[in-house]
Amino acid sequence: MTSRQFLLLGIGALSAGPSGLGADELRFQDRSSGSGIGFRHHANPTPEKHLVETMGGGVALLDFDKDGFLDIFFVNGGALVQGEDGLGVDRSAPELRDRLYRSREGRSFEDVTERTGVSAETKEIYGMGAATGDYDNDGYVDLFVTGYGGTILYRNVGGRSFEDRTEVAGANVAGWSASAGFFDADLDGDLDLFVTRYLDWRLDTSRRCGEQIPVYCSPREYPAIGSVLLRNDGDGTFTDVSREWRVAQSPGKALGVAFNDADADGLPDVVVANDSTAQQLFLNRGPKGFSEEALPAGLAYNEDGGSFAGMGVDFEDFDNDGRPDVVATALAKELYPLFRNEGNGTFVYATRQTGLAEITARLSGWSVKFVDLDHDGWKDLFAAQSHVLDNVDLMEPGLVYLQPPLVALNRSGRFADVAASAGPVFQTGLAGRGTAFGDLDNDGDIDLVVGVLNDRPKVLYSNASSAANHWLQVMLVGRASVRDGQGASVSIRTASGGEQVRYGTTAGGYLSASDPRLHFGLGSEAVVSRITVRWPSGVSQVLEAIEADRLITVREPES
Amino acid sequence: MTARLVAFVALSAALAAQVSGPVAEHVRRGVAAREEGRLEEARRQLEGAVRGAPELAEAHLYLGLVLHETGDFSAAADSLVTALALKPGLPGARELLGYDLLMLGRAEEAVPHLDAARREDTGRWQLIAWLGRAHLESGRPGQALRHLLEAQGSAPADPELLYLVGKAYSQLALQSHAQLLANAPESAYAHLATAEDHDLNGRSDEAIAAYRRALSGREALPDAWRALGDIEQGRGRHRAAVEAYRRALAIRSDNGALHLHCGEALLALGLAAEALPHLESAVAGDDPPPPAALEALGKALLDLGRFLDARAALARALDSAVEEQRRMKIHYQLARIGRKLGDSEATREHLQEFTALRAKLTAGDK
Repeated sequence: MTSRQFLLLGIGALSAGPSGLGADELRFQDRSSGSGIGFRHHANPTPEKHLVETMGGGVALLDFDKDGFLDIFFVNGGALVQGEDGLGVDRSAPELRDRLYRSREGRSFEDVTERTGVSAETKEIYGMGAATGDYDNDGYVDLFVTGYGGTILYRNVGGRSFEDRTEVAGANVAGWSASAGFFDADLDGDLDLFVTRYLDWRLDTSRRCGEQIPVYCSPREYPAIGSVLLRNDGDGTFTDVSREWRVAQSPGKALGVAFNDADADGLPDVVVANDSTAQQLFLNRGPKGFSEEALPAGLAYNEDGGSFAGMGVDFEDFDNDGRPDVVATALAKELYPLFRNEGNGTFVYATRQTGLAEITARLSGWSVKFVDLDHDGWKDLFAAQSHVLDNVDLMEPGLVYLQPPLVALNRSGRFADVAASAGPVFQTGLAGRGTAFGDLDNDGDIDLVVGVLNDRPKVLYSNASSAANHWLQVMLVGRASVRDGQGASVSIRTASGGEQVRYGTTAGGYLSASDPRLHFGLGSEAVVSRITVRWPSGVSQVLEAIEADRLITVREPES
Repeated sequence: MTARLVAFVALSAALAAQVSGPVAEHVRRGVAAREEGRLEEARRQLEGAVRGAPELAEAHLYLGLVLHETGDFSAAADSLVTALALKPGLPGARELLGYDLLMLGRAEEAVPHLDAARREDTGRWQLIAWLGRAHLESGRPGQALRHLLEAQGSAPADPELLYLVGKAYSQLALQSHAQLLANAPESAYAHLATAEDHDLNGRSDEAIAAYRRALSGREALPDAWRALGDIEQGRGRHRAAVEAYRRALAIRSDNGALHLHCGEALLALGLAAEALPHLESAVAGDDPPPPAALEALGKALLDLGRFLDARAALARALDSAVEEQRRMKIHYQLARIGRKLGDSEATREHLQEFTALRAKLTAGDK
């Protein structure tokens, strides 16, 4: 069914600047100092090199108070301390707490952690990542935090504070959880939760690795474990349906998760990035649950059948053919795998053909995202980077631990590394981990918040909106579908015939949650001739002749 | 090469014939104890004999032999020096002394004794080898190599000899490189030697710089271009690798390995059409074609959408591939082609083979 019912709410009609920047002049400015963000990630690395110490640092961008500006939530690590019962996690010191910063109209931030109740200071959880979604459909975004030792579900109370509903809601996931994401798996109108788990690892079974020089253990040293699917029961509680939905039957070493509709059947599918073992594609079979199909679909391994250290993952259409593709990060010499969706249920490894083999041969990445950074209508690639081993230079001369982030612009399906001209942060080695993507200052372009292991984050503002290229952002409000629009698909067509599609999700990347607003770069097109929204409820909605350079809000029609 | 000393069978008889009384008793007991393997007792008895007849060179030699057998090379050498002072032509003494000095790290002192012993006995390869080793440890790898290669003629598989020959060649190479660097430090060959040293030791940045310096002085160094290409390819700088391989191919246009490397670098850049002629040359260059060349050719054809040709190339690669790792990769590629061709049975079969091989090769993982 097609509806033309729509509502447009431009939050400031932001027009393009008078002079256009060339695409090679895309710049990001680090405004973390002086922004009011005092957060510093604390991994508290020990000489024993417990693996958990090198993996953390998630970030979430969420407008928790609904003032129209994205706030920032940082997940901290913790301290590993010896207690009476052995080694445990302590979060009590102020510097070990998670932090929420409220945006002051995108210009600066204030720490509202204590008054919103999201510090996790009483939890014995070594923090990893965050997921966002309005699981109770009350119009306020909720927050889920992962880590070693358990998880936390925070319900947003009217945009003023959060309440810990973990136990009441049955949302505690045991073990070591990594990336998570909200999505409506069963299309019943409320958000379910997919929680990846990395390894069957515990502090008391943590091993020392490295004969001469201590190193963080390879994941090959520990058994795989299943990810967890929590079904939203619609009454504020969740039920673990991992077995019924055939998720638990496919254990992995999962770090990243992303959602999209791989096979265009209207059901949300799940891609899971696994470290040094096969990647996973959980195809949604409706009432039959999921079917893990990565191997027959050509998504499990690289083109030679080799595994790689899948860390972060994204699941979006990078080549504008209307089908969601998959990109993941991996370790140096493994290349960042990019799988092009062929449209017949299969994917083709396209790392070489897209130029990524040349760009990523010696890179090691974590969070990764397809996002149109220069507004030319093609989704570019960003990755937060560093090797996993902080002493890799001793193991393998020529490799380095700290690496600058990667920014590679998409030139009609082939990527070009433009880090050299993108700003000082792209010349500086970091231990980048999680990254959240969103428009912090509501100027129309995509800014970045990069979590840095054991260090201060980078808050990077883009200059793309000052260029001549146009843009459009779409905020979705569901009615029969989930209220925050996750799971909806939005495709646009411009007057010149160019088409793009984006999927409503805050998940993807690594340990992080991004802006729920769907962002499109439009190049020189000042008008979008047609927007089609396919809601998870099955409703299709068409909007026509939409002016560019604005945020529009699209509400799902009643039927 | 184990120590097989000169036969001392005659020595004990000669010694016994020259003594009488208590000294003879010491000698008799000492010889008996040695033959029974009681070396400490033999040593005590022969020390008694030497005290009773200090002018008797054979007694010092026999004591030296026993001390040598106990592993006390220093004391053995002292006894042997005394024996030779008393009787310079004493058979067997120089060989034994040379060996003991060699064991003590006094190679330069060992050389004249082993040289003299060799003049006495030219037949035994062990003695020649010791002489070679003494020269090697004295910093004369050229002389060492002559003796070691002569000894190797009699014992081609002896591990110690193989080691020493390699070491001698290595020292010769270092000497030659040192001369090169001293005499012509800015020559192309000096840079080439430096580059190879860096390359061998994994210092790829330095190796690249040195190779480029060498090639700027002399372009007609195809091995240098190839080595440069290999390093660039290993670092993921495929464009630079292609450029280097092309320079090498300009000199050696029919070299199959160069074509393969160049084709693989072009493939890594996603330039299958450009890679194809190189990979076809690599396949045509060897009979039978190497599996790696057939595999790369199959990959290029797959990239180009020539699925049937790709399948044929990979099937040939599978026929000749022995390593399980390579067979696993080829099965995976063939499954990909099966998918493209809609051949579900072939896809399933190749994925089964792939999965079985992968499980075998990763059996150690948890």
